[in-house]
Amino acid sequence: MALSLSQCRKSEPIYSSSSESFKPTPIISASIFPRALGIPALPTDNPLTEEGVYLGRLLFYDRLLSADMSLSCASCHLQKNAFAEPKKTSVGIFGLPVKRNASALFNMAYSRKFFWDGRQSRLANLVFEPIQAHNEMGLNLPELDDRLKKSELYQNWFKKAFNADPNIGQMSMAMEQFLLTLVSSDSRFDKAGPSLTGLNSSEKAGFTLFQTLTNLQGGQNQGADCFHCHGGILFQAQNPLAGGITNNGLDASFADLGAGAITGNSTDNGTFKSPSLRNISLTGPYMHDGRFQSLNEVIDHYSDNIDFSSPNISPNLANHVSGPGGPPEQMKLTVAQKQDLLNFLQTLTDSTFITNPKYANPF
Amino acid sequence: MKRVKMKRVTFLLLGILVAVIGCKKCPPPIENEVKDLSSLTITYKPMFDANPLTTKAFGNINTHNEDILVSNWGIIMSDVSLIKEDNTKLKLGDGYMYVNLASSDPSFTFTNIPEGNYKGIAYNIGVDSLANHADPVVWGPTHPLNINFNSQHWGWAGGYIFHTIEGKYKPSGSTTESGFSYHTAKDPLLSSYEYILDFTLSNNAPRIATIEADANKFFSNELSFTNQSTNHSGSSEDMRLMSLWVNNMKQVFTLKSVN
Repeated sequence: MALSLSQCRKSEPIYSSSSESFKPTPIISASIFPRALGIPALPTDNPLTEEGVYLGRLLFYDRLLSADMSLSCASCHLQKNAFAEPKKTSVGIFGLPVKRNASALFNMAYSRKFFWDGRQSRLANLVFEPIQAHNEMGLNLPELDDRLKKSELYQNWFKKAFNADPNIGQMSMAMEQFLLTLVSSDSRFDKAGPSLTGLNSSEKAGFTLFQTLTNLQGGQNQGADCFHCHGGILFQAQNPLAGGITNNGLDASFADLGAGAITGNSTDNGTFKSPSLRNISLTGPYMHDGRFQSLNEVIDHYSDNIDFSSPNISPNLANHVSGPGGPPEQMKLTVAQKQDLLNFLQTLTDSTFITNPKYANPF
Repeated sequence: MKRVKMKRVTFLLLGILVAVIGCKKCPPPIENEVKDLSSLTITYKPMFDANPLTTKAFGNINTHNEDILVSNWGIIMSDVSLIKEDNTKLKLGDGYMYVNLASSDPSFTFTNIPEGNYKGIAYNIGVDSLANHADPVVWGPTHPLNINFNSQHWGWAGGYIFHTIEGKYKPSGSTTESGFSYHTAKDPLLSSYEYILDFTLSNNAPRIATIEADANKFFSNELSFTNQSTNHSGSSEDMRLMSLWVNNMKQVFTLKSVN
């Protein structure tokens, strides 16, 4: 029975189904997490196993997890979009609107803050939020538990992964395992290495702009100063105090308080998690509310349209001044510089990641 | 007769074997183990002159009459040590530590420190040249030198930011808010600190050392955010001013008590 179930699914590992010989296959960390990204912060109480990851993948793609069985996690997190969604904001069950743009999902093993407002610090807790949210998947946990317990598929895979009957606690652990394995580090930029071998002159110029401080003191500005909030190998600051959660000057007043609604501190109002710029060409629309359709609009924002009156604006935007003690000013990149920056950002696309069968729909 | 002797020898050997195995399994007496070790928490108290530094609002007026709001104040330390009575140093843990004085809990705790009398605390702000230029991907996920943990690594440019202070300021007489960002980095800007204050560590008295950090002491004649709002230890002029900044940093931190 177990074997026949296994054979029904794509790229599924084949294991013994006997609970007496319960021996989940451990995943060697080095086989998933590339050295270049550093050592990930994996939960010590949820070791990765082949069976656990596969169970998490099944759950991620299963519409059983929504009240009307119309949506799965993958409905709003599409692999071809680096697990983001090409919509301004998502639409939940019964067509209900979701407030924010669906975040891309990758390299989460290196993060400690999740969601646009950084309110979750653990993926095993995070997964319960969209499942239960009335305007997302809208399913209550007792009903979910009941559905899982009645499913032969999950009876089988919970046994393999945890030697247990289906339950929502280990469901969240399995989903955490799958999410942790979503690793993206095989872009053209990664392949180019520190010498940027293989990148063309425009892409190289874009990288220089990316990691150079803005200088408005005479002559054409030669820096776009992206690296403060999107720097490092993850292209994303991890420390909330150091640009990881920040205000990028979108608005003078806030329709969405972002992290401020979570912490209750007015100094956090209008601050949001800085997303990774890896795969950025695939993850539009951009910003927490999906207001920018294209990367060109994003670059225009940072170059020409930052609202410096925005409360709590990042110090690393507000320090763009043209002279001692002067007020903050726009960077005013040239058309050519904007194109260079765009070309560089496009080198961060990891086509292997978006076609990796290990992340694909197993049904 | 021979059998009796053999039995005696066998029992003797067994006895020795049990004693040897038994000894291997025995932990050192718990009383000694606990008695010998203590812990020390080093906590930072961010100040602005005589008042606590406000990190949620303006109101910190410096010597240049600039109104300052600090939002990020991260420090990487190395060779964090206790100064022993004989003036030698006892390194705590692996000697590295990260603290952010703009966080809600700017403190860290070392455990398993031998009991005894100590003369003070010492550390460097920054890391030595070897660590600064070594491959940074080897450090564990919450180690101070991990490349992703605290955003104190330069990334592709290589090396660590030893000391970061960022925020916004209003120039004297102005209501305009601008940003400031001072990143102390590069080998020559490694700086050492020693705080002399006698204290005793014992197992029944874990201690808390309080270091006050007065941000107003960073500023001097040439050092104002109006004069230079961004310094990333880059150009020669940046390095000249940052050296003055690091020199002033010596006055910023004061060990106030060990209780």
